[in-house]
Amino acid sequence: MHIGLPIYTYQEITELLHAYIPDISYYSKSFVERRFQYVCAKLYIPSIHAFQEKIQEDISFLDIFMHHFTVPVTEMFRDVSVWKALYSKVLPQYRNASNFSIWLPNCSSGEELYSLSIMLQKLSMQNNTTVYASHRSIVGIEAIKKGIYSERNEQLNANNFSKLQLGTNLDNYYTKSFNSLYMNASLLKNVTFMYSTSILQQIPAHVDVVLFRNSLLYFTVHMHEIILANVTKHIKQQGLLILGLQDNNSITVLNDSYKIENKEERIYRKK
Amino acid sequence: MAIKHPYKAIVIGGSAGSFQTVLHILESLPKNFSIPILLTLHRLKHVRSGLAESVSLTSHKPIVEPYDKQAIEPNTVYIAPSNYHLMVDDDFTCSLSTEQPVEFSRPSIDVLFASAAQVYKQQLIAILLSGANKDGAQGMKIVKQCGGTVIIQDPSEAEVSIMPKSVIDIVRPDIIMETEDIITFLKNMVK
Repeated sequence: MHIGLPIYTYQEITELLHAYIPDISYYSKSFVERRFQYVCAKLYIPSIHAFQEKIQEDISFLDIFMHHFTVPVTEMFRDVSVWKALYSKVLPQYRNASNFSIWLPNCSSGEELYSLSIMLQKLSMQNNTTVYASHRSIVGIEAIKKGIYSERNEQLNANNFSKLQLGTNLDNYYTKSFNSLYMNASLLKNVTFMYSTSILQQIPAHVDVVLFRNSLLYFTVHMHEIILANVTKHIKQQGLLILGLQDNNSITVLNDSYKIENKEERIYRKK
Repeated sequence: MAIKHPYKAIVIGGSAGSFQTVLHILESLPKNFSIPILLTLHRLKHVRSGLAESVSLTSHKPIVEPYDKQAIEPNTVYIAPSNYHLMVDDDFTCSLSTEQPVEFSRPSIDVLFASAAQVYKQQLIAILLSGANKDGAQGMKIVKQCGGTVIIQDPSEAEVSIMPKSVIDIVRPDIIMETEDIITFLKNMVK
């Protein structure tokens, strides 16, 4: 994360990126300034002009940019209590459904997707469930498909998982080689990845559950309303929306279109 | 009572050995001390509740673990939620983030201080207390660059002096004080 005064202004960055990433203005000003700086540092791009040259040389660089621009999730089963609620209250509701669908509008670095997939496998629900996983970057999607994670967070992930008390160990779901964890490929057998060019695009028709935690944090308040209204359109009646614990709780759509299912864990049921 | 000081916000950061100091500062502030306070304390990553409740036992003020984009109001203390960075946005709202830890910390003091410095500029007071790593030092440097007031707890009083000392290594604090003097300084602002 970039700590310091922004080298480039929001206006300079958005003027450059707008032609390539039309929804750049959906993101909050402070996020764009610090994340652009972070990505430039990460990819060894010394200036905004060098960035521009890089795009002009190779347009596919934009995809790499979006891969790094997207904030990763740093652990599996983050906020254990939410996952407990998912495992014991939410998912069992759909255990006998003929077709159950879950959508992750921003599957980020994949930890939430794998956490969910582990639960579905444990509940023997993979055969009746389709998971739709949207992502802004093809490079990002390919990285998630490979399912390779650093062992750095292995202990943290294992601790989270053990608190769920599912009667099994997390290492049953990956193999370890050198310093990496290779997630079992079978976990993704019911996952459909969807490349999207905007948070408002490429959405499945109607889903039962939307897992959308901590993604709104990086967008403007104005976009919170629009994004959530868009997500809501694609949730079945009586379907569930799961937000991040500290996500904005003053969004009008939340009051208008949902009743609270679980206040602590930010689970909402569509009216 | 008319407030004549120029400050619009106070940010406080601390880690190991700072908790009791923070409680003491907050309980000592008078009821008419209305400047909002934003607080980042290094805390156990997976203990969601407890900190705000503990602080609220001694403070006269509402203690809030803010939601993202929650407005910053006078007379309120905002505590960075567990496992989120807390920042200040241009429109004087709290902004949260799950971006990578800074100095192994999320919430990070650097992140809060740097963002608040750019919004409040010379109308910000930043106070860094006891702690065992260097989080906060870079943030203090930016507070100084933006014209804010940099206060550190006297390292000789701090239970763990690494954090306040790390500020001195990279920027000259405006004031180095013991806790009681920090309290007096703050109280004098509303006299």
